[in-house]
Order: sequence, then structure tokens, then C-alpha cells
Amino acid sequence: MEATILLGALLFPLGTALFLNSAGKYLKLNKITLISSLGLLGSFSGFSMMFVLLALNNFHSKNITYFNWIDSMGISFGLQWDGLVAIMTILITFLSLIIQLFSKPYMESDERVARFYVFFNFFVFSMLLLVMASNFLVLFIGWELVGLSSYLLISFWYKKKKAAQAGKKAFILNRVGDFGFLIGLMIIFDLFGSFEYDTIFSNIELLDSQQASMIAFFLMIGAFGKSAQLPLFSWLPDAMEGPTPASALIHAATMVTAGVFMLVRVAPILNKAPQILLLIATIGVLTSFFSAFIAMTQFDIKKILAYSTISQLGYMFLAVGCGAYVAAIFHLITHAFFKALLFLGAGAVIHEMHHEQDIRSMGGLIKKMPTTGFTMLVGTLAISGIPPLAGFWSKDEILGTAFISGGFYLSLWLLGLVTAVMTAFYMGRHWIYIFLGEGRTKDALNANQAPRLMKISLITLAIGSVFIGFINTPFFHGVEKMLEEVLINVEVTHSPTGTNFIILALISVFAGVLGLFISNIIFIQKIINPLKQLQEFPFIPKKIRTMLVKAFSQGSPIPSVLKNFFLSIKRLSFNGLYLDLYGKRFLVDGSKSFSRFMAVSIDQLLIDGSINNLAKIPIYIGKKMKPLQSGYIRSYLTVFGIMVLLLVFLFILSFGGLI
Amino acid sequence: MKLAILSGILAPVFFSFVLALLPKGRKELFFPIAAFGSTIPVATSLYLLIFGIFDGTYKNVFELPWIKLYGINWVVGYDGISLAMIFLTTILVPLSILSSSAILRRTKGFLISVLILEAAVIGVFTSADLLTFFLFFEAILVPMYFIIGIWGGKNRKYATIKFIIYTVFGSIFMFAATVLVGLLVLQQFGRLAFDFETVSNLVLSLDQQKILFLLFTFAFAVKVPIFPFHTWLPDAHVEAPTAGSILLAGVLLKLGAYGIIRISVPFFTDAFVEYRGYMATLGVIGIIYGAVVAIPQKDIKKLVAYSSVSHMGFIILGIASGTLIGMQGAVLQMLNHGITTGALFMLVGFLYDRKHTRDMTEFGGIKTVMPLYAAAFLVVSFASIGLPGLNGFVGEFMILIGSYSAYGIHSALAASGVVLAAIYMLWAYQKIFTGELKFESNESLVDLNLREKISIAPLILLMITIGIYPYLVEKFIQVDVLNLAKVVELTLGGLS
Repeated sequence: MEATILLGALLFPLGTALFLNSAGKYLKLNKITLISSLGLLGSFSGFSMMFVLLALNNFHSKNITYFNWIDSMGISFGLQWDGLVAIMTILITFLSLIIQLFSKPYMESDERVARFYVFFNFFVFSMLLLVMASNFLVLFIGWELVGLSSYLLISFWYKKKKAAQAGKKAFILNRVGDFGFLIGLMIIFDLFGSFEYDTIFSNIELLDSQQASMIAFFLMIGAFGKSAQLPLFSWLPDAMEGPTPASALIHAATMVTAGVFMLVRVAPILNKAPQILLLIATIGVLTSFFSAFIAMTQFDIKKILAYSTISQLGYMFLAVGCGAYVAAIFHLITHAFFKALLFLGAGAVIHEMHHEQDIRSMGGLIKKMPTTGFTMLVGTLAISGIPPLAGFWSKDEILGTAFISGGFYLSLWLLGLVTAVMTAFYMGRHWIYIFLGEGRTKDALNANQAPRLMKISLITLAIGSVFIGFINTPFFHGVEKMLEEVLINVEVTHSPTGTNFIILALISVFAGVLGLFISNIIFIQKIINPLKQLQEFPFIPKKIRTMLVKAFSQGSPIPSVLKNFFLSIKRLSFNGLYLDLYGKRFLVDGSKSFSRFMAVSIDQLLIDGSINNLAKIPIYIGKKMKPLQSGYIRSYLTVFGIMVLLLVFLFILSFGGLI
Repeated sequence: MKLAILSGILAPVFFSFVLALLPKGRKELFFPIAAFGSTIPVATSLYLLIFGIFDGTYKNVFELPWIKLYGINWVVGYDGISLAMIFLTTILVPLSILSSSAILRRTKGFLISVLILEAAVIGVFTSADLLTFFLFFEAILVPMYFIIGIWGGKNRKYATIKFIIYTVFGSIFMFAATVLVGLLVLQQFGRLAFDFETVSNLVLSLDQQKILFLLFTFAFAVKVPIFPFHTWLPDAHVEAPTAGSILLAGVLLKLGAYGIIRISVPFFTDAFVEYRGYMATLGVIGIIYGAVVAIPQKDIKKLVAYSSVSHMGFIILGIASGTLIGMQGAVLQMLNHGITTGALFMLVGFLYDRKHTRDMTEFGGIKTVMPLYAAAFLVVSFASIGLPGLNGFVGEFMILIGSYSAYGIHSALAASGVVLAAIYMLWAYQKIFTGELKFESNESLVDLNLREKISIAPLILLMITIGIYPYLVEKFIQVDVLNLAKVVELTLGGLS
């Protein structure tokens, strides 16, 4: 019975997608949304039921095999059901339901709206397949199909060249990650002879540290491709070309978290490879830091959120790298809520602003769109880690664990802390630019409230962002309990408790508040003249203030040097550390020239050329031999005569015993 | 059983005669009769599927003595691997005939050529005898010569001659090897015979095996094609008419791989074990090289042609690995690649029928006017890229995993093929379909008509079915490949 429920919950979205693909264009939007919602609702209820059963059974894992897939490799199609899967499936279906509701008013004017719902549901199916897999092959299939859905959704508005390019870029960079993932899979199969999680994890003792490190390294590459970490991250900001609901679901809440999920799944292997864990944590934090750095100067409402996602994912990888798998999943959950909220809020704004996405053209929208503004404030505070909102609990757990891990991890903690300040800063900036002050364009001045469905989605997610944090606090380890059996043989780094916790928590909160504070001064006060601000800054004695102002005023040599330095840092941030530019020049243009070289110089000229030259040889020989056939009797007779003489000569010689 | 298999060969021949006798004026009968004639072998496949016994042994079905004194007979048989190939052929030929509506002049001759081609190909796949194999192998070149040479593109004369001479050049070595084998049989068993059973009982020294292996495999290497003997392929594909390309890429290339699996590996296993490292290397080079050279192509057909080189590289790697999983992946991929690339060439043909150009730069944004075609193209592209859920993935995956244990570095390098394939296919898709409609002249392009839909649908259906449930194919070829792998393993064991 459970097998059927699980299979049904998995297949509902697929069924909806297939149905809408053929029947969609004949149905009215209301019917389409209804069918789609029913499918997702069915899925969600199925998983909730199973979750309850699981909770009652103390989160005991189980897996179910359905049918034979590749016999000679012992691969079958199987699904797993445990605490981790339950968390993911419920999160995925719940969020997709909310986001899908939001999509109705957002996408209603689009002529291909039915197709949107098809891709949307197909994505949900693929993501569910990914998390429910009981072996690596089914995981990989879901993994790739999620990549496909992402491609289809990003390039949904295919007439826009940028959208089509962004979709292709996303798929290819994902594939580069998959290349690493595949090698990891090859090693796994070579060592274990199977892809089943059960078989592998129960025989984990057979792995020595070196083998585990190799596997972990390649799986890490796969995870980084999917979750947009350094250096495979530039597809995510570009992916914002897709419709905002898609961005909310895929590039905030679910698909990009697949990498984190996968690494938590293989925690037993990772724990045998401590150096790789350190590598994961380091790259995670660096990604987090640099993407936050880039986000600080962006002006596109969605791009800021995209870089923010990359940054928060970095936190999750930091957690994984510290062995704090519970913290990673916990942050995954909380982030899903407030990031989806932020994206949908941005979507509402974009919708009312007639698809304007530059935050400089907004302003004062809190008066025009109060619900949106308020919910987005909740989201902003949550992501900045302000208690008691969700983001505080999860982010703090991660930072706390990093601190406790000591050694090199301390520097990662520090970097993470600085990033938290930056996060609060740019998110505050984001919110302030959009909602405070006066509208800077006509659209902003004439904006209306968001449609009702959008508001409902936003409010639901806001409530979630407030309360979801309570499922795993130092007082109630909900997530930890759920993942207990999943991580049964895995040494999980525990977050600090008691006084340690309070101290570290205070530090993180301070970081968040600091970021918001700076952001507030600069932007609310609409800083045009930093010196004027400094003049009126209340906490520093007047004399020092005047001295500083004088030192930094025009005419003094110091300012221009500093100013230029500051400006170049700003430019570095705004241009995404020039990574994309160099990536394009070096990799894309470079490979284009290389392949052209191979095609023309090597294949055409060299290889084919040699064949053609070989072909010329018979022609050449033929040409040279042709004159012999002159048709001229006398020359024939001459040759004939010479040959006869030669034969006679040879004959005589043979008689003489010489030959 | 006898009738089932023989009808696969004789029916197309019979109907080609019927076609030949039809009066010129009755044009409307040509296609239906040809289609009918080419569909009868489908019954052959189905019969084999249902009633065939696949227990890992090669089943001899029929022997027709011809020149008894010289051991020249027509010996027919089958096993799971042949079935896969026969099935592929019988599916692709009728569909390629359906796609050939653009052949307006000398249609009769074209259809006759295609039918004879079908008969010859099935002849190769059902041969249980070296000489029969060789005869049918060569027989294929006659209809291909006409198909490309008469109904091909602008540069067809060059392409045809190159193709024929290059292939025949390889086949000469095969002929020499066949004669050698015959002499060895005479030496060891006192009579001249070429059938597989007798040949498999030959006792050969390593040196003898090496020579024979190289001779046979060189012929097959040209056909597959294995790098660097591939340069006939782009020209032949580009200049061939749609049906020609479909059958060339879909079926004829598999003849080479089939030859290696059927002859080179089982009969000269010691030599195979010696040389498979080189094979694997050439396979990997083919994968990467083919993909890299495909990227900058402007001609869609040339792009697909080079992608075929890349995909066949995977198959060669799989065979060279000598492992059960690797070789099974290779056989599976032979079937898959035929379906996928056949579908790609079919689709390209549809586009060419409309605009008479294969230059991708002349399109751009045509998804707006041909949405169904674009969707079909996208599905087939992803199958070619090896997206799970479609057929291309399973074979590729098995080859990679299977060859890792034998040739780890090769396998790891080959995996880069998945990235490269995504690059050239998606870039091509983008150039042709997405964006705003680039040229006003393309506004009048019509989407797929009924005939075209019927042609492409079975292939897409197969892609999805095999992608979702590959065991369907696996159970037929499994035991045969297992036995083959066992032989290799034994030999490998004997060495260490």
C-alpha cells in the first residue's frame, strides 16, 4: 500500500504534465490551474500521509523496488522513504503548490501558459524522482531531468535571444558538473558493484580514505554544478531570464538545493574524506562571500536574489563541510521559504511595474503594495538572520558549528560572519530601494496592489518564514530527530548549546543588525554625500567629525586615492568579478576557435587531405603509364622485340647454369 | 523460422522486381508498393522477437550449398545481437521510404535501390558464414553507389567515389583474410568451409590471430568509422539524399561494429585482447574529436555526421572494454544510435525539403512557425545528448561504467563527451529555432504534415520506451553478450 502511495505521489505531477501537454491548449486557464493544483495537492497529501506514518514509526527508513531496469548491472527502479526524503518531498510539493498558485495571475497573459504548467509539473516530478531515489542511477536520472526542466523553463520565452542562451548555458554548465558526477559514479560502481544506497552504505567499511576522497571529490563537482558554486555558478544569475515563478521554485527553493541534498545523502562517504570536506566548506564559504560581494552593487531585482541564493547555498555547503549535515538540511528548509517568498515578492513587484526589473526605477512601493512590502520585509529580516525568524536559527547553527570545529574552520567562520553582514546589507538595500522613499518613475507612482492570489502566496510564505525556524532550535531538535536514522552511522557535528550558543548567536545577530544598520543609514538617508552623513553622525564627537570631513573633502589628496580604490572595488563587484567575462573569452571563444581549427586544419586539410592525396597517386601513375598505350604499332613492336631479346638472353643464361 | 528470416531478404528483392516491372505512367503505385515491400521484413523481426530462442548460442537456420567444392554456401542464422540489428533495419527502411517524397525523378530506380539495400543489409545480419557475410557486405555498396550518386547533392560524384573506394579498400583486406581462413580450415579440417561454426573451431596461433584480426578489423574500422578512417563519412552523409543518410547512419555504420562483435572478437580473441587497448584509445579519440569537430559546423548534416563519429566512438570503447556491461552497452547503443541518428537525419531532411539548404545560418527563430517540428527536434537532440529517460543515455552510461574497470582513464575522458554533445546539439538547436524569426522568407515554412508525423513518431516512441524501460531490449541481447564477455574473460584470465 505504501508502495502505491509513494509511486502515486511521485507520478501525479508527471501525469498532470503529460495531460496538460496534449490537452492544455484547448482548456481555459482556470481549468489548467485547477488540474495542476489538484495534481500537486494530491502529491502533497500523499507525502504528508506518508510523513505521519513515518513519524509514528520513529522515522525508520525503508525502500521499495518496483521493477528491473538494467539487469546485468543489477539496477532496478526503486524509491526510498526516510526522514530526509520526507522533508524534501513535503518541502518541494508544498512550495510548488504555493508558487503555482502565484503563477496564475503572473502568467495569465502569456499565450503559452499551458506549456508553462507542463514544464512546471514536469520539474516537480523530476525533483521528486531525484530525492526519492533509492539508488544512484535513479538519482542521476532525476538529476538530469531536473536539468532539462531548468533548460525548458529558463528559455521559456524562447524568442528572447538572451533567454535561449541562458537556458543553454545552464544546461551545459550543469553538464560539466555531471561529467564529474559520472566519474564519481563510475568509481562507486567499480568498487561496490552496485548503485543501491543500502548496499553501498552497509559496506562503507571497505572504502579506504583515498578511495572515499576520490569519490567525494567527483561527487562534489557534480553538486557544485547543480548548486551553482564556484566555479560553475555563472548560469544562475543568467537563469533569471526565465519567468519569476520558475526562478522562485527552481533557482531558489528546490533544484539548486539538489547538490546539498546529494552530499548529505552520501554523508557516510564524505565522513571518510576529511580533506574533501574541508574543500567543500572552503569553496562554499568563498562562493558565499564573493557572490554576496557581487550582490551588493547589482540593480536588477532578480539578479540580487540570484546572487543571494548562490551565497546562501554556500552556507549550506559550509555546513556540509563541517560535517553538520543536519544544519545544512535545516538551512535548506528555511532558505526555501524565505527565498521563495522574496522571489515571489519580486515577481509581484515586476508584475505591477509592467516587467520593469531595475530597482532604481522603483521606490515608495510600500504605500502602493503594502502586503507585498511587508511580506518582503519579513523575508529580508529572515535572510539577515534576525531572531526569532527562521533564518536566524539555521544560519546561526551553521556558523556555530563552523566556530566549534576549530582550526582552519575558524577562518571560514569569520568569512561566513562577514558574509552575513554583507547579506543583511544588500538585502536591506534591495528592500529599501524598492519600497521606501518616493516612486522614481511613472510606473512606480502608479503601481497597484498585487492580485489576491499573489498576496495569499506571499502571506503563506511569510508565515512560514517566521515559524519554520522553530522546527530545529537548541530547545527542540526536530530536524535532527527526523534525520537520525538517515545519518545513523555518520558522525554529525553538533551545533553549540548553552552559553556557547548564546554568545555565538549574539555575534551572528549583531552581524545581521550591523548590515541592516549600515544599509539603512546609507540608503534610507539617501546618501548622496557621505561627507554630509559623517558631519551629522551623532555618535562621534564633533571635533573629530570636522577633522575627518576636512581630511576627506575635495582638494585633499587622500580622498581621490581612496575614492578610486572604492570605485574600482565597486566596479569589480558590479561586473561579477569579471569572472563571466573571462570565462566567456577564455572558454567559449577559445573553444570555438579550437574546434574550428580542428575542423578545418586537422580534419579537412590534414586527414582528409592525406586521403585525397593518396587518391592522387593512382591518377599520377596512370597518367605516367598512359603514353605506353600510344596506339602506335611501331612502339609496340619495339617493346615486343626488346622483351623477346630479353627472354632469349635469360634462356641462354639459364642453360649456362648461371641463373 | 526459415521462411521468416528468408522472407526478410527475399521480399524486398521480390518487390524490387515488381517495381521494376511497373509501367512508368503509374507513378502513384511506386511508393505504396515499395513501402509494402519494405514493411514485410518488419514481420520477420516480429516473428524472431516472438518465436526466437535467445539462450546465448548462435542458431543456424538454413544452409544453401552453392559451389560445394569450394565451400561457398549461403548459411543463415541468428542470435540476440543480430535480432537487434535486424529490428533496427526493418524499422528504418520503411520510415526512410516514407521520408523520401522529395525524390521526384527516376523514383522507381531509387525505391528499387533502397529495397535491394534492405535485402543486402538483412543478408549481412543473418549471415552465419564468412563468405556470405563478405558477399552481402559488398553487395550493399551497389545500391548505395546509386542512391548517393544519382539522387544526392551537388558534390555527389566526389562523395560517392570516395565512399565506395575507401570502403572497398578496407574490404579487400577482409577478403584476403577470408581466403586465409578458408585455407586454414582446409589445413585443419581437410575441407574448404567458411561457416562460423567451423571457423570457431579453428586452432590458431597468436600470430595467425593477430594478422587475421587486423585484416578483418581494418575493413570494419573503415565502416564504423574508427578515427582516423572517418573522413568519407561527412561527405557521404552530406551529399546523400535523406533516405540514404538515414540508412547510412542508422544501419550501415552498425555493420562495422557488428562485424567486430561477430567476427573479430569471438574468432580471434587472443589478438583482440592484445589490441583492444588501441581500440579503446581510438574510440576515445573518436568520441572527443568527433564532438569537437562537430561544434563549428554550419551544415546541419555535417554536424550530425560528425556526431555519429563521436557516438560510434562510444560503441568502440564499449566493445574494446571486453566487460559484460561495456559490451552490452555497446550493442544497445548500436540500436539506440541507429534510432536517434536516423531520426535526426529524417528531421533534417524535412527541413531541407522545404528550404533546400542545410546551412544553419539561414534559419533562426523558426520555432515560431514550426513549433511541432521544433519540439520533435528537441526531443531527438536530447536523446542524442544522452539525457536519461531517452534511449541514448542507457547505452552510453553502460559503456562508461563498464569500461571504467578496464580502462579507467579512457572512460573518464570519454565522459567528457556528454558535455561536448550538449554543446554542439543545443547550440545547433539555438541557432535554428530560438530567437526572433531571423529571415522573412522563413515565415512561410509549414510545420510537419501527416506523412512526416507518421515517419518520426515511431522513432520518438522507441526513444522514450527504451529510455524508460531498457530491460525490454536487454533481455534479448543479454545472454549473447554474456557469452561473448565470458570468452574474453577466459582469455584475459589465461594471460594473467
